[in-house]
Amino acid sequence: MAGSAGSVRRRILRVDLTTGRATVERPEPHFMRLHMGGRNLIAHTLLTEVPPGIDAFDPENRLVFALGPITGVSVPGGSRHSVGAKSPLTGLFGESEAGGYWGAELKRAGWDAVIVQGRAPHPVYLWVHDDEVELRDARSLWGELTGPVEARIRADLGDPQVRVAQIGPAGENLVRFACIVHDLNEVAGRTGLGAVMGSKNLKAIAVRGTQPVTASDPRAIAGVARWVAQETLAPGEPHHRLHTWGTGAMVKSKQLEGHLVTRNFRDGRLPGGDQVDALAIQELTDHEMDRCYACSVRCKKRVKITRPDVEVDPKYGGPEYETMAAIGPNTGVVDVMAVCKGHEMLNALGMDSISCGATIAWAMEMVELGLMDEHRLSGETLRFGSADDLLRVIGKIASREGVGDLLAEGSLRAARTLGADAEARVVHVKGLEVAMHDPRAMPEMRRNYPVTPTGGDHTGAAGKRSGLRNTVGLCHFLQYDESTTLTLLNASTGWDVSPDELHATFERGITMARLFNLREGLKPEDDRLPDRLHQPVRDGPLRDRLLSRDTVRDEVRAYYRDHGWDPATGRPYADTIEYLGLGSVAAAAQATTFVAERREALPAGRPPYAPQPEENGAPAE
Amino acid sequence: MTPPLRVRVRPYADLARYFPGTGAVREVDVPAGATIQDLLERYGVDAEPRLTLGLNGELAQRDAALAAGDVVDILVPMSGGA
Ligand code: SF4
Repeated sequence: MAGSAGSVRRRILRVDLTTGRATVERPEPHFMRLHMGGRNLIAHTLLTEVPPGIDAFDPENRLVFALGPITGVSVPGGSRHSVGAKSPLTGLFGESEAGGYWGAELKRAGWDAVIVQGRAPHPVYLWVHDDEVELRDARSLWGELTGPVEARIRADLGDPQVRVAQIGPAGENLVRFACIVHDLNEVAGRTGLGAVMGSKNLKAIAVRGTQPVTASDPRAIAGVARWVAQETLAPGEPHHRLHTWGTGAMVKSKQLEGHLVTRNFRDGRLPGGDQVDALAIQELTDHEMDRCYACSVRCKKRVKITRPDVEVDPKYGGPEYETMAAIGPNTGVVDVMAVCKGHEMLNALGMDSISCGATIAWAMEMVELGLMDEHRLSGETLRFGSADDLLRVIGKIASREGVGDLLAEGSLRAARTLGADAEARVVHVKGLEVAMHDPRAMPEMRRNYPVTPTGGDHTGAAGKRSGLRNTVGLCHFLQYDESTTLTLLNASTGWDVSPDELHATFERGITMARLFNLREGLKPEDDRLPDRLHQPVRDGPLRDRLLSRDTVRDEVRAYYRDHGWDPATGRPYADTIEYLGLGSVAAAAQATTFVAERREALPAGRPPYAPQPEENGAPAE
Repeated sequence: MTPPLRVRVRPYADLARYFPGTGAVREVDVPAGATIQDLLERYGVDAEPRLTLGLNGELAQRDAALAAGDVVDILVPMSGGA
């Protein structure tokens, strides 16, 4: 039975750090339904508010924390939100997701989003307590690790339940892959959003809310929650597997199949590489499983190690698969204890594990090939397989010390200072280091990486399933089919969204992100995979398999066509823009010159995009 | 009559529930001439929708013939991760 309640607040908090003013915006109901949240709300904000061509560290850049309409509803997976800005790493659409509790807390405080603009004259943090909003002095927190900062903010506010999103020293130092850390272990990792936050002198956003999020149809929500709880108890079901081992339990099969990401995507397997997996972490460390808001799956590791040679603090969680691979086999490191330590350091310093690990792996290859000279290394050693080198350089990147200053620029910028041979070995798409799923072996990733608006990002904004999860605020790991996602959306909000409208929401999100990227200079030739991924791996069963450039180019064109964009230029067609209700957005964004005209008119009544696009993106399991 | 073959199975994670015994490595007997598929059927693991198989540390297919002392890895697709 649908009631009058609903999970959308229709309230956006805007904070101008230059003037210190906070304002409340009340979008029309129609606007919230059109753009919903997550990626879509971010793309709309960036398109309509960020002046074309500005530097990502310009105060005019926007930093958007966007919940989804489901975020904060008491259902497994209803914990997600996205953060977005123009990316300092790619110069394009920047966006990344996080789970945990912070997003649900912001919804409980009565908000759907926070938009931050300007630059504070000195470090501050934002305190949001329901309707009370305050900028507080953070000068004494600047330079501190995330763990002590969370504790001090909670003490300062006298409430241990305050939820904190923050940057670490890496964000302050404008490391281009700095992340935003929520609850110490939930990071909006990709595309360097922590550096944007640092450029604004914003150390943290602390949130406390006291207003329950009431779904419109609580019975429907409870039914889905019950189903997940049952599945979580059933051996062999994906939810049960996730509950028992968390992520990172497929490293052994990657190794056997020959696509374990190894030594800067060069090799394909690594002796001992399969020891860096979730089962080894369970066996060798003192660990327990934790959860995000309202989630019975409880897949989040908390790793504690107390040994004479290594200590790891469980408050920073534990490594997920991407981290295990990125700072494990990709750097040649097979010491699982060192990987757990590296994870703790990354969350304490506030850096994206994928970009950081990939940049270090690239640098290790440069040293091996003699492409990075002594002067640039400034006394540092960087050897594949050395856990000591890995951990030391993680610290130096965050503080931009020695060679860390070069690596803090990300692998592509660093490579460009070394020359063409170095650049040819960077494993990136659009400047974003590629995530730890090898597209030479995984067709869904092969289709995804070249066209995802953020670059080499595995969470797959390019695909309908993952794109919609992001927009509505649902965790990708939940085994919800599209109809359950729709049930959750309508039962949360009280809306009557149809499957077609949901599909249009997805198309609207990727088309806005596309327009933003085109306006910021993206060319169709940027929708590609790097050279390394068109070479076979050096070892294992896939060593003779070559991924052709034609395959990728054909798939990119098919992707353009399926989404109502010109297959030659990747520019959205005018009828797509019109069908999605984006005409005024394109005009306000000064992006109409990036819209293409279709040569032959569409048959009447047919949507300008394919009814069921090929699925790109994150593997369902 | 040809004696059965004794092979060692390493069932990954919750696949252990299909095999008798405890521990990471389980010793099982299969008829002479058996393939990995025969082994999977015998213990009911073939019902799993997607499996990755290894024979003595190398990727293997279901029709691979087994020899005494072989080590068989049986894995299921597990979660990815952020
Ligand atoms: S499945 Fe895991 S990551 Fe997703 S919401 Fe639940 S606990 Fe969090």
